[in-house]
Amino acid sequence: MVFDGVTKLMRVRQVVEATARIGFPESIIVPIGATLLGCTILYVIPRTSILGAILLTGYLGGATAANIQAGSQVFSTSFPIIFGILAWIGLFLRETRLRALIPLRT
Amino acid sequence: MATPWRFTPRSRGGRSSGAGVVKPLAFKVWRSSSVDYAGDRANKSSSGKEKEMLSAVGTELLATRAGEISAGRIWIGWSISGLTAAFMLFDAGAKFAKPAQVIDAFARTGWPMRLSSTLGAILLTCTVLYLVPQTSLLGAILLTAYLGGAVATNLRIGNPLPTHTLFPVYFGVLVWIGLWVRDPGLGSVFPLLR
Repeated sequence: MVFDGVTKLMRVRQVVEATARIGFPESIIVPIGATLLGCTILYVIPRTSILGAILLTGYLGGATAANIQAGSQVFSTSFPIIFGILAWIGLFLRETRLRALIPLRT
Repeated sequence: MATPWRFTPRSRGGRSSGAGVVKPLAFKVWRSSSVDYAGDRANKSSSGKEKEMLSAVGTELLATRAGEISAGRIWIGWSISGLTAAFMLFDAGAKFAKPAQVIDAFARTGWPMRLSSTLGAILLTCTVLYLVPQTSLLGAILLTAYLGGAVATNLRIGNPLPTHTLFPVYFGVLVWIGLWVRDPGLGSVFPLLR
């Protein structure tokens, strides 16, 4: 996530090409990168990790939608979904209080 | 036996009459709808008799927890959640019914019309999960991802930020505020870990 955010901030050539391919205007690459970095930082800080995971979920939902719209392959489209699941599994494992709430409240 | 949970009439919204007196029915509803899923395993697994045998410390603990939960708060939370969910269900229904407005919106945002029912089904599933207390957190997470997709769609075609692109963000915030207000069990993990 950090890597992805930084490459967007630096406007690496491949990133700019990928963004153009899925139909996003180039001007929003930097704001998107900053959003991703912000969410990831919140996710890494223990106190704000849940909030960060929620925001990352929203971000990754956007990535999924962008891939579906661009008619990407199944692999590219499921990539953000897999990342979202990983983000929550990570939290689930390190935060016992979440286990009482997700997936079913006990 | 007197119930160990304290009730706070102060926060019962517009009801000014009979302060301190709670109608039995209202209390019953409050008990079954809040305490049972307040994440209190000890409470859930114990029978009525065992509850009576709870130590003074345990009773004190339950009373303190119940102090965080009031009927008024749950009412407000469900109102926010209900209104938000009603809009989502309306939106999902429109994606199934496919009126001219939906066809127009799909053409404008570049989504293929064949995905309309699929998106409607996804939105419907997420919203139902959000409304069921046992799966509400999972539902809120999935709704957040769905709304993130809506943000990306608006962002891609360069729609105005405050009125179009951020519109799903407002809804996402309402989804989480509603859940947080109606579900005190969430307080230990949301918005900040305690």
